[in-house]
Amino acid sequence: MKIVAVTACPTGIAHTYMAADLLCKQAQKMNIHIKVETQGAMGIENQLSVLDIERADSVLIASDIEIEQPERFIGCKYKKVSIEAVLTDVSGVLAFCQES
Amino acid sequence: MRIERRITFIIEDEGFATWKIKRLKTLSDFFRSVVILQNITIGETTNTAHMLEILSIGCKRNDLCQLRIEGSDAELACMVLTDFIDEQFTIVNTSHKKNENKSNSIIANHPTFYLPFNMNYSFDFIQIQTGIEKNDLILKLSQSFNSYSPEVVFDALLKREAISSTGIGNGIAIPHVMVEGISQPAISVLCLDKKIDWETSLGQVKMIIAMLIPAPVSMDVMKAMTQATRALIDPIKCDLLTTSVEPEAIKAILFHFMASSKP
Repeated sequence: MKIVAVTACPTGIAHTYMAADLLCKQAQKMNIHIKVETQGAMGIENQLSVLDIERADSVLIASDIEIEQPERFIGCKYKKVSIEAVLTDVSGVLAFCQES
Repeated sequence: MRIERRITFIIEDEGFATWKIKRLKTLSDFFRSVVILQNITIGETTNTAHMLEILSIGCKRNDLCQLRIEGSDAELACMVLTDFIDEQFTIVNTSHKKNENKSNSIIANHPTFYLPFNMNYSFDFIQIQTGIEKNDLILKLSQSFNSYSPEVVFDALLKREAISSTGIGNGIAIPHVMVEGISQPAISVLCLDKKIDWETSLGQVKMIIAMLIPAPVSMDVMKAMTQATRALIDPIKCDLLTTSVEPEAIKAILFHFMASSKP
């Protein structure tokens, strides 16, 4: 299982990175390979390439705002959740990604 | 009767030598209280009755630690342990003998709290009376930052909350905004005597840690702020803050989160 994810929040200093940390930690526990792109105040870090998105089994967008460069995700099936959902129940979010 | 006392301290050059662990255990054994050692830097907790566990935590120089003393004779135990800790380590804060100036000077000067920029910090206890709501507290926060224009900060904070609540669970909310024209970053902490609703499914809030960040943000400030918020993912670290009633200890823990090189 390979998941790619984007996290973003309005200010870009707190929730973006908290959500990314939680996703990475939980994914490791669940034996899921994950790459998380953070869109914070310092811009995009760990950017997902089109190839990353293409190869992933599941694409997750965890954000309360419109993300940057959304055109990369046109035509692929992605799941969108709020940051709060990640903070509340990160394993639930990942399980949701595992459903086809 | 169950009372709780805490001693917050920094490990110095010598580390937590075996004889110190032994001494700590001997002293703790004189009392009925349970003495818990918590290494805040690495997020490990252990009972002082288990010497090997303390050894295995591996306290290093500049680690921030806390002794939590709980039980009927905690007051007395705290008195004795304060003396011991004071001889062997650097005390930041102790419930036994308060010394605000000393605490603040240690937080300002010790490398374990070092930040490469100036920061405003304020702390307040708030009694929640009926009718006080989230927005009243946000208003209070925007004034406490002491910035040139509390109105601008207030609007920005409200706008941020409107998009999504800044409650992060474990009884903590972190309202934070980036505003242009601010000279230096600021943190304002409100400690509430009763939990209030923060419009989030992550539960009610007991402590509010608000951050005001100058825009555009510098790398140093950004790093410090994200380190602090990432630390707050950990329920144990949140608990350290929400259960504390000592402003100096809370300040020390927050500054340490911001200054530490690992999140």
